[in-house]
Amino acid sequence: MTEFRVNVSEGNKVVAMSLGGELDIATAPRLESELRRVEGGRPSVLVIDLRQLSFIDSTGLRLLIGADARAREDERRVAFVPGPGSVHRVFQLALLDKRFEFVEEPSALEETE
Amino acid sequence: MPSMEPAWKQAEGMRSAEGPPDRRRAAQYTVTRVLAEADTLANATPRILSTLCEGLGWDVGALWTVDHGVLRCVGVSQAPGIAAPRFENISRETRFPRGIGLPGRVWSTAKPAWIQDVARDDNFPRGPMAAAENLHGAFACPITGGAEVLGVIELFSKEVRDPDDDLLAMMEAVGYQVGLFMRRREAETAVQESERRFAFLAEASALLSASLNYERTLTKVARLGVPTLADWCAVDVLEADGSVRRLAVAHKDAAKVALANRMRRRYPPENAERGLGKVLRTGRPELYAEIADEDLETVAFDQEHLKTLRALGLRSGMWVPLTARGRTLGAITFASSDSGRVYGATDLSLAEELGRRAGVAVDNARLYEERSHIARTLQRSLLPPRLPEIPGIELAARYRAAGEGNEVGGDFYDVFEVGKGAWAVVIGDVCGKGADAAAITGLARHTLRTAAMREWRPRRVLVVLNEALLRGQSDQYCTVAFARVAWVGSHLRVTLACGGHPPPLVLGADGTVVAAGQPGTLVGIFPDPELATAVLDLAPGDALLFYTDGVTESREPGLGLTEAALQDLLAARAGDSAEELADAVEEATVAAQAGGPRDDIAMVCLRVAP
Repeated sequence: MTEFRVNVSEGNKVVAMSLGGELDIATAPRLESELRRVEGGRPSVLVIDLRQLSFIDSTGLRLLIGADARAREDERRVAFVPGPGSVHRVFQLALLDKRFEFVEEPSALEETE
Repeated sequence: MPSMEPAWKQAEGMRSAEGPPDRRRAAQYTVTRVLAEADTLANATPRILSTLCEGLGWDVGALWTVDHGVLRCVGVSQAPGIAAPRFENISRETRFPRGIGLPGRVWSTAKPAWIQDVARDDNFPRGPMAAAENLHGAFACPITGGAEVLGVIELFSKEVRDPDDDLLAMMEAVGYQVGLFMRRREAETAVQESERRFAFLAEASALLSASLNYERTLTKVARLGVPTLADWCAVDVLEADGSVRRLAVAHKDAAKVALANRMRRRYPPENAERGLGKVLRTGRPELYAEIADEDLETVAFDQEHLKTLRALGLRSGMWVPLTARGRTLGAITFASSDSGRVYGATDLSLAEELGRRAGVAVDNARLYEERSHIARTLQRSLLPPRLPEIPGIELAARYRAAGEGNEVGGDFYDVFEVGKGAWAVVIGDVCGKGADAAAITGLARHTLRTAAMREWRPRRVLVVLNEALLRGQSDQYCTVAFARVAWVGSHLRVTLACGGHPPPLVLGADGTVVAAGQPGTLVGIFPDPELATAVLDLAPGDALLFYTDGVTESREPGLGLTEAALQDLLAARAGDSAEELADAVEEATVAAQAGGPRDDIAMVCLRVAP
């Protein structure tokens, strides 16, 4: 099993999920269950931090697209912190860097909320 | 007090010093010691009997045990100086049922019996031999360890003897002691047997799960069965056409194996009423604790077959089915011959368990093979059988699925004619693996082909595909690069649209490398995809490389062919043919992904002939 980590820190209104390692077809289920759990708490803002991610494949991307779509339905704000070059490239190729909200720093959101 | 002299000598010494009752006690003490030191009853019997004869003043002793419904003789001994070979032989050969003869009546009544003169007894089948050896007085007592009779001890004398209550009482105690010994040994043996069975089952299971090559593993299991469980072990499987194939037969004597094989070839078991044929038909195990000649006659097809069956010397047999998911896949045969082993219910349940585990192993192996076959067939059907010949254009394609043999990859490519002098080149990557991804791959290729016939703008083609995927059941998406190429004079005009796919690379004849096209939305997720059209002209000697992200994927920094490295690689190869370029990229990709590619690799290389 490839290495993958999800750290969740729940603030007042902002829940931050920090992903690390490789997000692929094997590790995606773990992220999916965490996402569902966090979304169940109905946070107003969800930040998904990709800075520690070393790899993402189409399965991982699909999960994040799903999280973004659900956020729009639930009227939740979801923002991403871009991962390293090779990871962010995947989003750029698919024009997701325009479709998703990307922020430089997760803490930036705490302040505005 | 204790000395190194043999038991009987000590008793002798004591006899001269003291009267008969003490001699008896000494004999009893000796028997106790013999039992304490012995490992089996067979080993202890001669010493027990000679001690009793010597110590108690009798001439011949015999010990019997209950064995599968009859009393069998374990041993016969004589006092020193006494010989009674004929009586000994007849005793060793005789089996007594309950109530018959001296041993039989003691077994039946569970009480000692005294015969003053066997010549006058009407329930003494060994009479003639006793008379020949001049034996007259006899008594016997049961060997018990508690409840039931386990055997009988007999003593004979050349003199007529009157009943001796004291002797009887003492012998009852001896019988009880021997019985206790037997019970203890039986318990120990049962534990050892149980441990052996368990170890066998564990070893067989390990063998079965070690490999998917069930033919090899079942052969190993058959060999494992000999001699632990059986003298003979054979495994047969049912083939799809209903025929029975013998996978393995094991016996320590190779000549016997050859004999069994010859017999199998001549007399197939499918038609047999009993044994293997029946088990294969019914899926239920068969146990033949004692194979009698009548049983052989029932299964034999003719006299020749019967003779061969007899030659195998089968004593006891079990046939258990190989079962999995409620179906009978074959059978395992266990049979004893030389060892004389007799199978019982415990053996059968062990064999049945083995049959279940082996059946599952065979089933799994077949399922895996089937699945691999389906996957390979499916995979083959999803890729274009060969690239079209386009005059003036070199074409090369590469495909490597990263998964195991039974997994279908998600990458696809296609090159096909869309009009006079116009072709479509497509490359794509469906999210995921396996059957779901394969279904989308099929849908994508088909949709792209049909759309490309109607729409000549690549952007529109991708929009059609996007809608088709959105309409579909799954939430799968794909990345696609779609290009329409057509001759404009001596140049090849490429009109291109990319949906979430790495842009194809243009390698100019002069060595410059440029990425073509703009990023676009993934195909099949959003109803409002943003797709841009790029147009470029290729001159003779220029090449265009379409690839999937498996080529440039890197899980670890420093490993894998980056996009920049790919561009450099191409730049260094200006002038190479399409095939050469495809080879170079594939080699570099595989080399850069030490440990094997984790994602599928696909590429199409197109070059305008110089």
